[in-house]
Amino acid sequence: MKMSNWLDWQLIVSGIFIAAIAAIGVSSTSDYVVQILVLATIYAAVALSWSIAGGLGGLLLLGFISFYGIGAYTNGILFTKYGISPWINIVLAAGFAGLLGWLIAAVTLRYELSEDYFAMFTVGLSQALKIVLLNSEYFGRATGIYITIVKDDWAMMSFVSRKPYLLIALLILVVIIAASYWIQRSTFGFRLAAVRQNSRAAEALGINPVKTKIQAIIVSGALGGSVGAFYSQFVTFIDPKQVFSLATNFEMLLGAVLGGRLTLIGPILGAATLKPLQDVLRGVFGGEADALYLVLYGALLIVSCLALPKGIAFYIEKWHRKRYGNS
Amino acid sequence: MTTALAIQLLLLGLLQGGIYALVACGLTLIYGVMKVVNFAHAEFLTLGMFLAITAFQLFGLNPYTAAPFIFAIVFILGAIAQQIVIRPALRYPQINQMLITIGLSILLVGMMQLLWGPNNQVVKLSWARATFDFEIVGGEVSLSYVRLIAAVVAVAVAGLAWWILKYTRTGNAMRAAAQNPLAARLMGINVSRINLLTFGFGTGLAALSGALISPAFFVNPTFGTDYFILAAFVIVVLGTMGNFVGALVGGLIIGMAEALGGLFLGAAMRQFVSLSVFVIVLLFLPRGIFRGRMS
Amino acid sequence: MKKPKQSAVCSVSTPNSTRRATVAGMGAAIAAATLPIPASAQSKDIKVGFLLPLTGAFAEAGQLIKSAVDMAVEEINKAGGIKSIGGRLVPVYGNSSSPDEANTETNRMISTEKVSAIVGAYSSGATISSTVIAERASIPYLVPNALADEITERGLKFVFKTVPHFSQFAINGAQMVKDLSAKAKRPVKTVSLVRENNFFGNVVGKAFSAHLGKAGLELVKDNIFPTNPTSFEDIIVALKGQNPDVVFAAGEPSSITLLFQQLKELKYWPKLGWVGCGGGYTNPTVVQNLGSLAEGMLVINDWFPDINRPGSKELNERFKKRTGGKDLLGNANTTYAAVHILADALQRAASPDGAKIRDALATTRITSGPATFMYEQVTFDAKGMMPNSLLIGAQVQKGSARVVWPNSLKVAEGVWPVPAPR
Repeated sequence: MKMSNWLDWQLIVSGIFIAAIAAIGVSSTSDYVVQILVLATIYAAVALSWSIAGGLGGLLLLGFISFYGIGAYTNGILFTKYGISPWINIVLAAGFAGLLGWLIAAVTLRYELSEDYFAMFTVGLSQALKIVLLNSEYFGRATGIYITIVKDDWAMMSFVSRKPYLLIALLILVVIIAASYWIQRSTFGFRLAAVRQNSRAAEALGINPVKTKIQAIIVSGALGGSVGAFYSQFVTFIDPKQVFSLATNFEMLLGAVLGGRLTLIGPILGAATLKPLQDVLRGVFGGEADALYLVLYGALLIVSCLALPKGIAFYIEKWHRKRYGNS
Repeated sequence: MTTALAIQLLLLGLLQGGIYALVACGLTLIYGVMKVVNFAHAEFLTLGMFLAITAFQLFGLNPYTAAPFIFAIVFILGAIAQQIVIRPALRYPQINQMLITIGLSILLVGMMQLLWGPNNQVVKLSWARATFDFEIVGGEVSLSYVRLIAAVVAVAVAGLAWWILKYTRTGNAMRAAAQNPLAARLMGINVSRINLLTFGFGTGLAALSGALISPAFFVNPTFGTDYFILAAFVIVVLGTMGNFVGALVGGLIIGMAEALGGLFLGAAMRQFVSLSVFVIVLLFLPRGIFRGRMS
Repeated sequence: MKKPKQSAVCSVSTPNSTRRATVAGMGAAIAAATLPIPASAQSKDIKVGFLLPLTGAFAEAGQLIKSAVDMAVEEINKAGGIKSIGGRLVPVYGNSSSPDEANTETNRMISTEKVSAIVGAYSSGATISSTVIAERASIPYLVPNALADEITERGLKFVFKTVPHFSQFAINGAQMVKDLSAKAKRPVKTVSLVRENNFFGNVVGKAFSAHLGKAGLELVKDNIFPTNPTSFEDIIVALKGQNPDVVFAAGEPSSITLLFQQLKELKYWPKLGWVGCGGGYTNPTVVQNLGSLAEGMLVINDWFPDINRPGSKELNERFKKRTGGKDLLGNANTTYAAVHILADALQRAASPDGAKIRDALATTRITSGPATFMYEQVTFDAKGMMPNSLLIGAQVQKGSARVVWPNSLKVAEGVWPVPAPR
């Protein structure tokens, strides 16, 4: 592993970043700080999951929250109705979400839907899922699903303190980082990049664009679903409006895009800065000044998308290139 | 369920469809010419409603008199937004464009909340609930004047817009830019100016729709997103993205489909009907019912 | 790929490891700097956290409640604060427009602001999740504005609720229409529900389905409409077919104007009357905006200014003066009362310690004082519920809601059956 290699460098820095977060969290005396760190980690994990299909794959997977929501409900239902441990549910959620990914991909890519259509389809699907769950008695309708935890139970991922949740969230993030790293180094990553840059040329090289895209969506979806499952266990109450919320959806994607969706470190950086910034801004402005918060947030979104179209990581990469030369 | 009631429901669905159509027309126009999905479209509708309320409270103008002014104001505002926000974004990847219009929508909601507050407001027209009644097949059908006027004006305006697109020079320039921006530019068409006019026009139409329906609803800053944006997107896709007539026809279809859905499946499933249409159209008729572009 | 020759410009000499550490250190510093500075623990003031939906869909209600809380806090502090401790009552506000946010804010209130108690959180979802956090931290949590039964049904020791269970809407509502009908000598049997597909609507639906039968009434149909509907035509047409004696309804303010307008448009009105349940229907802006359409509408909620209880009219006038004309409605009343109930408990606990305050709350017994504008008596049972919480029925007569049921609290006679609005 060489520092001069951009990807390796990102991996190392990500590792340090995670270690720092863990250190701050564990040593903190404030549950508030830990809470913010957990949410930031969750957003970073989702952003990075998305970036595999949405960044590396170049797919306009706009309605990503479907996977997150499916994952959340997987744990919610299996835990509260069948007493299955969240540790298992996280894996199962990845399975269900991956299945959804496969369905979406298999169905839409067959028709060679243009990008915009694909994007709208995924958004529409997320809202359709929301409505289905809102009307389903089994899934709790609008009343949602709640989890009550008052004492520690490692086997059931239930903790009184917020700190164990931070460590688990970071663990999940580590797994996703490893996945993205491995993908970027592998031939799969090469195929993704080829398809992203020029689908026809990739085909000429013998790559099957449709199959590659399907795989990318499945991977992204599965990872996103697993984060959603963890989220439901952490927040202890979910309902369709919350876990299929378009607002949340765009917030998570924004982190990935602003950070730099083609990189390993970009989505983490973007989401991890944006989410706490949001929470703190809300805390500062909150209440009557909510309108002001919205104006600032909207303006921030616009300005940063215009000023940093390739994301912050783009500039970091330029610096890295200058520092280490091309590698 | 008497026949008269069924007819009433379908007629109401048609009226609703008229409004949907006008909202969708603006959205599809913007997409057709600029290839930008304007996620902030609903906010311009809400803006139109708030302007109608202010016109009523400050000047005593009813929304129908104020409508042309509201159109003009939002046309200008839309054009400004286009220059500052959308134009620079056009050279960026799709996802950036989408996030920028989403940012615009958040910004607009915030600004409306600053200007008008978060609470519900309404245009208190004295005749807001008067109805036009007539007998049919032994039963009575009642349609509120507000809805009737709104729908008729909406369809008329959409028709006018279609005429402008087809028969005026600027309109033709818009269609040319929609089909092939590069070729249009080579032909001497100032595509930047066209984009400006298109965005202003499209958002103006949305605001106009808002003004027309304002006496019928409680308005708050998130009204547009809550009530209309999903239907608008469904219609745009159904009618083929970029196809003006498609949006018009699609609007009427969706209005009726929702009415039918409500009739047979119950009110809670109305939204489900729209979304199902959406998903099905995207899957089986991805290019919409009008395979081509702007007619 | 071969590495090209190193650039001629020398790179900075700081070794990589130190630089990385500096970056990590800076990150930590930034994180620490964005933390709000914890308040000094020196003063004797008691901090109480208030979780309210200050932004988002329920912001209007949240702001109204905040005004009520401010008024209560002012009154308490003007009268000397919490005398047994010798300090003032200091409110700390937090946003609870989503469970996520409510959790974060609860954590902030407990860890950073060091509150001694929490009051909140308006929406049931946010309350359900944030009470768990308070329980773990042994901070008492008083719920005067969220209705879910689960709040007190989970065996949590630090949670207390002053608003009734959802089932009361059905129980009290049914009793009210039966009493009114008996008086008017008109039989009442069939009921239809019209309610939104949200949390409140769902539980109201369940409550009515479960309890109407016991009251001798028949539920013809539970009509559900989606949040943010653009039309109610299907529901109204369905109602015409169901032809119930009474319609019970629940929904948010935004859908209510449309509903009533279309009721007039489609010319439907139930045989005996229309009863609105809870928040949306008691929203003063709704009643105002509906104008004559709301005439005769019956509403069930915790309290109305026009009620036969001591001090209620004066209290409402004080509130109206403070807020520029708004009535103390929509859980602003219950939360106002909650502040006084909490102050009473703090006085008896004589300590900012969570556990002591919890015990004081559990042994509350109020029969006089500020909280009696609403309640004859305030006590809590073993689960933390207030056993004598009651829902009251009022009718909109000449533009304002006047209590017509039960007999002990009424200020006017209910008009029953209710004629269709003009």
